[in-house]
Amino acid sequence: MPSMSQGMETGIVVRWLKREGDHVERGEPIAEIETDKATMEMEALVRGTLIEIVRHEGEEVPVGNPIAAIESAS
Amino acid sequence: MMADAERRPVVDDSRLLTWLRKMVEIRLFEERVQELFMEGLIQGTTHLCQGQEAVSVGAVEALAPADYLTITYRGHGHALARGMSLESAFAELMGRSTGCCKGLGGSMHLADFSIGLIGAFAIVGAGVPVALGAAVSSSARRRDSVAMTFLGDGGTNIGTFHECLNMAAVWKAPLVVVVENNLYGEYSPLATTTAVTDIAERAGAYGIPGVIVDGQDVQEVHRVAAEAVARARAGAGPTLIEAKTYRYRGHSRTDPASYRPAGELELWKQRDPIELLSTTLVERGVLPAEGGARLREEVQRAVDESARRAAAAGYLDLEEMKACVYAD
Repeated sequence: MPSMSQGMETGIVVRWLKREGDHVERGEPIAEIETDKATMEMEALVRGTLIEIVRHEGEEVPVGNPIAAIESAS
Repeated sequence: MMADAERRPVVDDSRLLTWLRKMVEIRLFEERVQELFMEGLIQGTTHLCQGQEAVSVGAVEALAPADYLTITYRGHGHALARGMSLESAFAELMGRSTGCCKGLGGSMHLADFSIGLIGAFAIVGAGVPVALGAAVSSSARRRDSVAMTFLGDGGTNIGTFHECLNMAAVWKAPLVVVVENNLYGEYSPLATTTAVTDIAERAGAYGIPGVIVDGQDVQEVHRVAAEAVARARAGAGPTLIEAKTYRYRGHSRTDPASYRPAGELELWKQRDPIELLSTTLVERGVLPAEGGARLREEVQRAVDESARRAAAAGYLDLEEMKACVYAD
């Protein structure tokens, strides 16, 4: 769960925009995350394949905990 | 339009390539900032300028080394355009001791007096009086330095904007005011907060030239900025430039910009400032067809490496911080 606003402690996975097995580009939105301030798109930090979605839609997750795994292409 | 193109100062191809690289650097710097924020390496908030790179580069490139500038909280692009290193800027955003203000300023306060960057202001419109002060001091000391100040459309509704432009006009101060009209003051469309559609019209109230320029065209921005700088340096007084531009991201990190009408962002992206210049350079045979992509990869490596080095630096300790704030 990325830090997406000042003082954010947890975020809710609103919607996954990619499925397991999908290719993702660096900077491409992969999920919608609800913070204490707004619902924002979360972008991939690396280019690669989304191999596992760990936390599902509706789950609240502390910042820093894994929500998905991407296998880096480079 | 032909008439405008003919009035352009001759800018040689190698300089245009430098401008392209600079704009790509700013774009990828901002994107890396976005990532560093998500990784928790940048605290607070950030205001990114993707989409507005041509204004920073075109206007700043019209300045001479001894000129001054003040910038805003959306100021990473101006600082990089003026020559701040990627590492110094990244380190400042991450609060590290190797940052331009030793990490004490952060994202909204990139300053470096050695390059004439005398302040970045988090308060809307607050950089205008400071730039005017620099301009007046230059005249008073009989130097020929010009001061340029950047602000947003919202900043032109602030009292000091009007006071400063009036005073600058009366005193013929060597000041160039660059308003980046990106259509929104924070979350509010311009029309809901501002009595005029074209900010440049406000110049009429002070009897100074007001110029509208396509903020996505770096060569056009440079042309009007160079004219304004020359006018200021010659003692003819200030110019108000309004660059019509657009920020691709929200106002700040926590703003998803859902108040924008559907399709607006996509429309502006069709006139992306980097793509516009790349296309021109490819058409003129200055840049190979795949040159833009190669440049992006090259700059991406430099950006990632600079961010990595910046993140490896330490923080000032409390005593060192105190020494930066209090005199002995």
